[in-house]
Amino acid sequence: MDSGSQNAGGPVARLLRARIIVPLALALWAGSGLYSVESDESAVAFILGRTTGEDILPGIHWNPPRPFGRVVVEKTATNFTMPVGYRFIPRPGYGPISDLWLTGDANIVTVRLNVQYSISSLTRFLLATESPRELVRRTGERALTDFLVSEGVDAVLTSRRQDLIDDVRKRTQHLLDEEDVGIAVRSVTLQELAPPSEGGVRAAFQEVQNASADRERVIYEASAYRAQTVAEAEGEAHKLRSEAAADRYARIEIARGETERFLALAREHARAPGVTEQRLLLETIDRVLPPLRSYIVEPGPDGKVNLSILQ
Amino acid sequence: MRTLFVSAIGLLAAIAAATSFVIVDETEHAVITQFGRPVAVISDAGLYYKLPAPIQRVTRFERRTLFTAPPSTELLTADKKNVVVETYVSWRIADPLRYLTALRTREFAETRLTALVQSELGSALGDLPFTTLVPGDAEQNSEDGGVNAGLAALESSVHEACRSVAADDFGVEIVSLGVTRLNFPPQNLQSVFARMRAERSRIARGYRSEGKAEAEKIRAEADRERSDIVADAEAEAARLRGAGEAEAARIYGDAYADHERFYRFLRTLESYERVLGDNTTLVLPADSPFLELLTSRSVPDRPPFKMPGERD
Repeated sequence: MDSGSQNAGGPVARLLRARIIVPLALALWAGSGLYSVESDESAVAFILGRTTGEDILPGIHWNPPRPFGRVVVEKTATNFTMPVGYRFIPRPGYGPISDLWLTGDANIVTVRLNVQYSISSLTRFLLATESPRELVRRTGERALTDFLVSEGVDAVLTSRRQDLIDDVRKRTQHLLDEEDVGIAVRSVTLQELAPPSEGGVRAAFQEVQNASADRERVIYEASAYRAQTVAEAEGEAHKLRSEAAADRYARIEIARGETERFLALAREHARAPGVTEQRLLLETIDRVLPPLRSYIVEPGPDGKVNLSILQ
Repeated sequence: MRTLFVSAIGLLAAIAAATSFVIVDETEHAVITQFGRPVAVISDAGLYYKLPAPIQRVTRFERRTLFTAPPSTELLTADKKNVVVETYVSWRIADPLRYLTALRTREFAETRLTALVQSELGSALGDLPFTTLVPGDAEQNSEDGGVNAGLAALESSVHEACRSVAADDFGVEIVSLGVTRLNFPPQNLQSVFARMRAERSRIARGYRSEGKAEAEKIRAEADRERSDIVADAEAEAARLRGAGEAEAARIYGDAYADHERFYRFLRTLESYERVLGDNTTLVLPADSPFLELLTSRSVPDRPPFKMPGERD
C-alpha cells in the first residue's frame, strides 16, 4: 500500500529520528535561552510579555527563548553623550542646526552643551518611553531655555557660567525623573558659550573686554602717578621740615653763642667799664674808618661845616 | 487521499492554534478586532487567547510614552513681536479604542497633535507680551533660581488646553509639554545683532570714559594730596622757625635784660661796622672829640666820647 511504501525507511529509522532529532531540537531551543550579561551591562527579560520588574545583573542567565520570552541587554555603566543646542550630524526633518539661544535681556548667545547620561534603570529605560535618548536632548534644551531666558547676557557669559551647567544638569534630571525614564544625568559640559560669531557681535564683545582692560590700565597708571607724586611730596615735606628744624636749631645756637660772648664781655665790662668801653670804641674806629673817605673840616664860626669841598 | 486530508486538517489546526494565541508585551496595548470591529482591549502584558486569524485579528499600539517635536513655528506675541518657538510633546495612548477610531496611525496622530499644540501655543502666546517671556532686564529674575515664571506659565497653560482636547478627541494623554527653545526669526537676527553691537560699543565707551574719569580723579587727588603734604610741611617749618626765633629772643632777652646799657653800646658799635663801608664819606669837624688829641696835642683827661646816657 501507499502507506507501506512511505515507511520504506523502516520503523527502526523512524524511531531513531524521533528519539534523536526532536530532543536535540528541543535542547538547542532551550539552550538558546542562555545569555550572559557583562560587567558593564544590565538586562531586562520578558516572559510572555512581562518583565521581572528589576534589571538583571551581570552573570549567566536563562530565559525562555522565543516566542515565549525575549531579552534586551544594554550597556548601563557607560556614559552616553547627547549634544544640546547643536547636533553632531545634521539630520533632515529636525529643522536647521542652530546653536543660537535667546537670553532674558533679548540678546543672543551661542551655546553648545554636551549632556552625559547613563541608564540607571534599564527596565524604566525600555518601558517608559519610546525614545529616551531624544527625550534627554529635548529636556536638556528645555532646561537650557529656562535658564537663559531668566538671565542677562553678561551674567550668562561671565559670572553665571557654572550656574548654567549646574542648573541645566539639575533641571534636566528633574524633568527626566518626572517621566521616570531610568536615566541618570552624570554631567553637563560646556562645549561653547560665547557671543554669536555672526554679525560681528563677538568682535564687539571683545572690544568691551579691551575697553575694560583699558580702563584698568589708565586707572593703574593714574594710581602709579599718585604713588609717585605723593612719595615726591613726602620727600619735599621732609626736606622742608628738616631745613626748618635745622634753622631753628641754628637760630637758638647762634643766640646762645652770641649771648655767651656778650655775657663774657659784660662781665669784663663790669670789672672796668670805662676802659672796656673806650677800647671797644677805638677798636671799632680802627676797623671802620680806614676804607672810608674821610674829611676833616674846620667848622665855621657859627659851628656849621662848609661841605662845598666835597663837590 | 485520506492521509492528504488528515495533513490538511492538521496544517489548518496548527495555523489556527498559532494565531489563536497572543502575547501582549508590557510596552504595548493590543486591540482584538472581529471582522474589523473592536471586541477587546488588552492593556496588561501576558498570554491571551482569541479566535483564529481571519475571524479575529490583533492590532498593537505603543503603551510607552511617545515623543513628538513639532517643527518650530514663528508666532506673534501680544505686543506683535515675532518669536520662533520650539516645543516637544511626550504623550501616551491612554484609550486605544478612541485612538484607533480617531487617529488610527502614528503619522496622523502626530499631525493632529502638532496642529493642536501649535494652535494652542499661538493663542496662548498671542495673549502674552514678549516681556513676560523675556523680561528684558533679567537681573531681577536671577534670584528665582533660574526658573522663568512666564515661560513656565506658558507651558502649563498650553499643556492644560491641549490635555483635555487630546484626551476627549484622540484618547491620548499628554504627559508633558515643554518649550525647548525661544528665538527671534532668522530675518530679525541681523537687527538683533546690530542692536547687540550698538549696546556693546556703548558699554565699551562707558568703560573708557569711566576709566578716564577715574584716572583724572586719582590724578587730581594726587595733586591735592601733594599740595596738602607740602603745605602741612611748610606750616610746620614756619612753626619750627617761629619757635626758634622765640627761643632765640628769649635767650637774648634773658642775657641782655641785666646789661641793657652795655648792650646798646656794643650793638651800636656793631652797627657802625655794618653800616659804614667803601662808599661812605665821612666828614669830621676838626673839633670832634675823636680828633681832640690830634688838634690839642695833649691827652684829654676825660674819655674822647660821651657814652649815650652818660652824664658829665
